[in-house]
Order: sequence, then C-alpha cells, then structure tokens
Amino acid sequence: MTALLEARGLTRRWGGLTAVDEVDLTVHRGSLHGLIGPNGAGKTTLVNMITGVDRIDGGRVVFQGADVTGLAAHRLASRGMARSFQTSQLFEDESVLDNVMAGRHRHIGYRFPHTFFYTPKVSREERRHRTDVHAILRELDLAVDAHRQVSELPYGRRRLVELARAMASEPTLLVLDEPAAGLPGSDVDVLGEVLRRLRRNGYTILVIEHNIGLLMTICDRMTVLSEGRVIADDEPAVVRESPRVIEAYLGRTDDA
Amino acid sequence: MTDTLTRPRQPSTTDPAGHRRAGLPVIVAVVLVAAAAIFPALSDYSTTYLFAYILIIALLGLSLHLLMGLMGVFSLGQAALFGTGAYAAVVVTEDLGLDGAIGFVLVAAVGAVLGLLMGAVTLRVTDLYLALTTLAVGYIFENVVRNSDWLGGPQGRSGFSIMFFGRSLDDPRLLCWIGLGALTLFLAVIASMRRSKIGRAFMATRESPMAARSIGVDARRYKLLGFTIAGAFSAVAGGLYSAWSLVVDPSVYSIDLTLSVLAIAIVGGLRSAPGILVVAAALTYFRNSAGDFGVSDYVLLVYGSLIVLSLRFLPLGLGGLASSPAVVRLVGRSGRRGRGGAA
Repeated sequence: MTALLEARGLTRRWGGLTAVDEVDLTVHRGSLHGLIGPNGAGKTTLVNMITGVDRIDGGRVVFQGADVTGLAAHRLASRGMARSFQTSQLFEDESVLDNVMAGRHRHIGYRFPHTFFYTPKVSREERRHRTDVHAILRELDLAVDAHRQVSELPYGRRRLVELARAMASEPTLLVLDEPAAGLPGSDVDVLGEVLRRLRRNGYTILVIEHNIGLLMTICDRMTVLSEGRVIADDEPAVVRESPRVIEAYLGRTDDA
Repeated sequence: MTDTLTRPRQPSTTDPAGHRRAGLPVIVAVVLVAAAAIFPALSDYSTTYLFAYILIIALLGLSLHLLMGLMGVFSLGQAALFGTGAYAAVVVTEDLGLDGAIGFVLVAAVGAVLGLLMGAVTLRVTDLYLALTTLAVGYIFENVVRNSDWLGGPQGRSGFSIMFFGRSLDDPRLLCWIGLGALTLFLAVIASMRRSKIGRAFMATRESPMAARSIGVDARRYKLLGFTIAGAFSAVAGGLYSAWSLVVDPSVYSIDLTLSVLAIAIVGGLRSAPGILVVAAALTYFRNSAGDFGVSDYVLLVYGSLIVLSLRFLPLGLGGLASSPAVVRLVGRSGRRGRGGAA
C-alpha cells in the first residue's frame, strides 16, 4: 500500500510545553487508521496541524506526494482533505441539505456571472449536486431529515450530519475528530458500522478516538500518542499487547 | 475511488425544495416590481419624491442584509460607501460630463473598489473591532471631503444636474425607475447568491469560520467579494441620493444615516430582504411625516424603541415574525404588538 499522508517529525510548542513532539504518522491509501491516546496526549493538536488549522513549529506533512506543510486549511480541503470536529461546527439554523451541500463547495465549478444571475447552468449544476447529496444522506440514513433544521435534530443525528458534510466533499482523506464523543453505546456501534462501510467503499480515514474499544475492532492500523509522543504504531492486535500502551492508556482505563 | 458512495444508484428523487422555492416568490416579486414601477406614473409629485427616497434607503438596507444578515459581518461602513457614491456621482456626471447610464456604472465601480479596500483592511478583525474600523473609514472620508476644495469643502456641491439617458434625474419618476432598477438588480443578485455556492460559502463563514475552511471555503475571499458587492450598491444608492437632494455636502457621511439604516435592517430582519423592504418603506414614511403626527422630536426615540422591542420580541425582525418564539407563544397580544410596532 502506498502512503497517502506522511507526517514527519511534527512538533508544536506552546511556550515551554511541547504539546506534540517529533511525531511521525503514516496513513496508507485505503486504510482506516486510528489515532488514540489519553486526554491531553496531543491528538487534536496533531490533527489540527495536519489539516492546516493549527500552526506547525517543526516537521513536514506530505499529502498525495506533495509537501503541504503549513498550507491553509481551505487549500488542504480543496486538495481533498476533509475533516469533522470534536465539538459540533454545524450550521445550526440551516437545513441538513444545505449543511451537506456546503460540503460540495470544491466541486461546484460555475463562476461569475452565473452565481449572480441564477442561470440555467447554475440550476443544472445545483440539481446534480443535490442529487449527489441526497445519495449521501440516504447512505447515512439521514434522507428523512433532509429538510429539517440541524438544531432540531438529536445529538447523534447531528454527528452524522457532520460526517455527511465531510463526505460530500468526496475527500481523498477523511479526518474524523472523535466522531463517537458523547454518543450512547448503541449509536457507537452504528457509527463503527458506517466507518467500516466507508472504508470498504474505498475511503481513507483517519479517526481520532477516545473510545478504544471501537477503534480496536474497526482499524487496520493504530497510532498511539502519549504526552505528545508516539508510543506505538502497529496493527490493533499488536498495539493491544504493547506494555507501553497498557501502561499509558489501557492500564488506567481498565477499571472504568 | 469514492464514487460508489456519492454517485446515486437511481435517478434523482424529486426535489421539492428546489422547485417550490423557485416558483411562487418569483411571481410575487415580478408583480410587486411591476406595481412599484407603475406607482410613480400615477402618484403626485411629493409622493413620488418620497418613494424615490424610500428606494434609496432600501438599497442601503439591502447592503446591510448582505453584509450582516448573510455574511455575518457587523459593518458600520455604509455611510462611507454611500457618501463616496454621492460625491462620485457628482464628479462623474458634472466634472466628467458623462451620462448617468455610463456614469453610474463608474459610481458602482468606485463603491466596489472602496468596499474591497474596506474589506481588505478589516480582514483580520471581527465583530466590534470590525464595526469600529468601518465606522472610522466614514469619519476619515468625511474629513478628507470637508477639506477638499474641488469637492466644495464644508459647503459641498450644488447646482449640478445628473442626467440619465439624456433626461434629468430631477424628475422624481425617472429617479424612481432608476432606483427600482438598481433595487431589482440587487435583489436578483442576492436571491441568486443565496441559493448557490456563494450563499452557502457566506453561510458557512457566518456560522463557523473553522468549518468553512474545512470544506474548502476561502473565508477571506468571500468576505472581500461581499464587501465589493455591498460597496457597489451602496455607492449607487449614494449617487441616487445626490440626484434626489440636489446638494451634496459632508453630512452624507454622517453616523445618523448609518444608524437609521441599521435600525431598519434590524427591525426588518437581517436575514429577510422582504422584511427590510417593508420596514424601510414604513420607517422612512414615518420619519418623513413625523411632523404631521407632531412627533418629529421623538423620531430617534421611536427608532431606538423599535430596535429594543424587535430584539426582545422579534430577534429575527419582521421577516422572522412567523418563527419568533414570543409570537409563537403568545399569538394574541405580543404578535399584534410586534406587527403594530414595525408598521
């Protein structure tokens, strides 16, 4: 398998604190890659650096063979890196359809003067994209809520809308920041099934998760962070047995 | 590679939203515009004159609809754009001797460039800082104009005649038709943008700049675009104001205008173009005939009270009447008050 994303020696410092310290991360094309670690391990910071949300103090990021270190978030998104957020960043007052349509942004080609005078070209292209979006909504079982306002939906459904919006950009790499956070157990299973299905359909996914059980069952490979450093990077079965991981993470949460 | 998920397996299901939205409102809008176009031909001079002023204010109100309602940018720079448009119209038609049909395109271009600049200098600030920065632009321009002799200094300029298609704009009917044309164009552009890619980019930037960037929206580019369009139409409003008032002095940059348009936009509903148009007409009419009601000393008090009442009972303004929690809860009394207050 070829590497889709390669991060080498990524470092982020906040004053005297090194939040992410020389981290290497390789995500292979077509794989479902898990990124786990205890609270404050630097998972979100790492992902924010990779997706252009946070500054990079050291190291390089190579995406699809091109050096994208320090590129702005919207440029990375245009290159096919989509992400969801740990805390909901949905457009609350808008319909589910509009939220997900916004995710199509980089695929909509019409320009001036078409956008100013809703020409037939705009109409055609909008209809085509709406069809695509409806397909995504059906895929995630969100079609019935297409015209409802996001703020009316229960929490779990909203997380799915966020996933749908990221999928709508047809990403080469889908980065999900704690998609299961706050979900009840039954929804976590549904989410796991969705992620597995996406992977089967050819998506490359990088998932940050707290819920180690979920990742153990669905990931091809896992990277474990602790205090800003990588302490394991292997298949789930190997990671599970790693003494360092057990000490840093599993050992502490076993009782819970 | 990802096609299996995103390409539909069967032809599109019907899309009620897309078609429903296109039909009736367009017909209603066409009928209203036609009625508004016939109106100046039938009414007397002073009514037509007032109608022209309402159209000018409505244009400004719509620019706030775009900036604040759709883009979520709290701009107080409307007066700077309006005033510059007012002066630009005089310079272009009087000093350069151009017909308004060409001249007003130039006026719009001047406003667009100024709007773009205003957007560019405020790229790194948001909220209150942005409001104050844009407000400052108005003050700077007022002082520059006040000290520019070729623009008439503190006395401003008068005695000019703005021609359109060879006819003078001091005929309020012509002024109405030109204003109505600009307003219709602006409405069409806004309605088209709202339903397309740009509208969603504005929406994304307004609701969550971080999420906007994560779907590939260059938030800064769209902010500049919005400011440019709003600048063009505000300047056209200013140019029409020159033709309407027959005199242009530095008072066109006054905060008074900015605040009264802000009041109209808030009471009408920042997200609702029809709401803003209705309130622009109602409040401008009220202000104009406040003397007849014997309340001319209290105009600003009424404006202020309306803003407070609107924010309390109709947070989305008149345009959000149906969805307002207060109205939903107390359909009777507070519904009447909301409506009565705005009209």
